[in-house]
Amino acid sequence: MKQKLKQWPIQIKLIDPNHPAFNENDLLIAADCCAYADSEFHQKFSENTILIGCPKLDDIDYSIKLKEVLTNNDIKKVTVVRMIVPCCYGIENMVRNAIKESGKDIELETYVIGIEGDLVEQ
Amino acid sequence: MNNNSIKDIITQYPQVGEFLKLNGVDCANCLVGTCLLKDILTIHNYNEEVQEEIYSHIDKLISGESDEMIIFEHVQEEIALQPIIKKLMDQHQIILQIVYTIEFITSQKYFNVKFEKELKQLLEYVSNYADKQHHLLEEDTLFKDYQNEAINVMFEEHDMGRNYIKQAKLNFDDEDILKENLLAYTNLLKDHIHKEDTILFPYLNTICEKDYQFTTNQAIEDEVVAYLSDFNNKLFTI
Repeated sequence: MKQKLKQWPIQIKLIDPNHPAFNENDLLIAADCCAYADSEFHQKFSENTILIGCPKLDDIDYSIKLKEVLTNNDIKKVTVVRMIVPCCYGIENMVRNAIKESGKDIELETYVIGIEGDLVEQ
Repeated sequence: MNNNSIKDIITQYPQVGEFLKLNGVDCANCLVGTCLLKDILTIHNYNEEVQEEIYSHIDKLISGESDEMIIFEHVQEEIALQPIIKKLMDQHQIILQIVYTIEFITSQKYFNVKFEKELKQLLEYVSNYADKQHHLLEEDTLFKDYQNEAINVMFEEHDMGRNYIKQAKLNFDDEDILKENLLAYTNLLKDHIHKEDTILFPYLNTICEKDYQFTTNQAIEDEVVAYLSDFNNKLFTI
């Protein structure tokens, strides 16, 4: 498989909100587990600038940094990929808040992965 | 035309739906769609001057005089949330946790057997907290005092939700019918809360002059939060 990672770092906690990769691609925000749970994750989603985090284990509100990312860059679409476990909806919720707070009309698409690695909802 | 329902207009003139969606007014996906065109832009907090420009452009799209998809300026003033609106929006976050927990449970095989006790408890929380505490508080205060066609849609969605939950309880032993009603409920609630948080409540926050005195049952709210937290923690030890 070709190397397609668009930027480093990929953790939401570590990324610079003004990273140049944000202006070149759509943004994908995924929960940490997703790339391991879904064996086709990279084929499906790696055309985007990828950010990852875990809303259960990371003790921060991502929406503050994500608002900065969305405000400072020309991003038209955000895709969220999360696990179906209830705690993981937090990542989607933080992205929704960030989009709302940015005041921009940004398209949001969500994919949900089941605990057996299957795509259960789009 | 402005007194027609938005769904009728979008069905007849899809280009109007596309134009409104581009301007953040995504009525095409609403499950009810009976809001009137004349109310839509007010509820979305467009000022009167911009509203006139948008109506004028819609006329041009309908008549065929223009097919241009223009984005109009939409400046929203930030206003501190009134206590009742803040409380209702905070309750939305707890209700969403119930909704996502139900979605997780329904994704599992034989969920009505495997998670029978948990699901029945969550359905009680839907009735006794989400509906009797939250929806009734909305209906008895803001929705009663500021009733218009958009708020009628909210009333209608509350009733749709009650019916899905009633059917779910009646058909608890039939996995397929149960799942169908639960997912209809969770999809409805996610869309309903999104509309309230991003459109209706910011609008009501700007026009509401009444200082509502309200009480909520904190004990049941604490119980729901603790139950959801406990359920989440147990999930990782199954």
